[in-house]
Amino acid sequence: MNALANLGNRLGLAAIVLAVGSTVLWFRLANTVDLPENRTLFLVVWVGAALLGIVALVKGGWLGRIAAVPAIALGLFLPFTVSISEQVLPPDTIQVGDVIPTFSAPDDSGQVFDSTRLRGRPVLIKFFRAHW
Amino acid sequence: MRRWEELRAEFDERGVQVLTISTDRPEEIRKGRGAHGLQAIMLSDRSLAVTDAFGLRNQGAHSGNPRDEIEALPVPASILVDADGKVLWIDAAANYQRRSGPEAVLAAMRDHLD
Repeated sequence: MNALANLGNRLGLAAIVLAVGSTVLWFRLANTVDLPENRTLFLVVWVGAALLGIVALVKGGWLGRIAAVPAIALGLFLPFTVSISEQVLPPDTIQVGDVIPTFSAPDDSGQVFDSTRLRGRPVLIKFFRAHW
Repeated sequence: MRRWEELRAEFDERGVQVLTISTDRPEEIRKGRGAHGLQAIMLSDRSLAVTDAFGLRNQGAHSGNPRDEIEALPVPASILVDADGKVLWIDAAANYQRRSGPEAVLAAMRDHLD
């Protein structure tokens, strides 16, 4: 248990617990489409974990350093994904009251689907960002 | 996406068809459908022709996987259309990490179709 007496090691372990815990919570919320509008607290925790990790890397023994590396990686990468998540629409986005354009595209069996087949019943169209 | 099946009974009750559009390849979509049991018309829009026809190509940072060889990704959006093809409701996410959940879609169907 000597390893835990070292402050750097303790900081490293704290960093990894913070980074992994907040990341697990983040993906759970993302999965249920419940991420909060204000994600500042997540950013603070991630950057904090990365900073703790850096201190642990300098001051810690092997245990602190091993814990610090993934904490720093997570703590820096996730804020990056937040920074590029803003979406910008083009000026000609379809509006309420517009009639949808006709289109055709292959479906998941490779057959071409024509949008004229949608007429006569309401339809919910969902554009999404690929991958499941 | 997977949460949409929670609304299956609500779609059926109102005769609403569900159509999805993504830049995934047809075989990738097929895999996803198998994994999530989604009942929908699922289209592949690799050229972004449909995305552009709706004006939904994201103009912000392209955060897609470079190996996908896609020029851009659509802004995540849900669009409710009536039987004549007119848009009743649209929700385009300002941020892809915060798209509208099934509750928003259900509320839109109640507002516009009931």
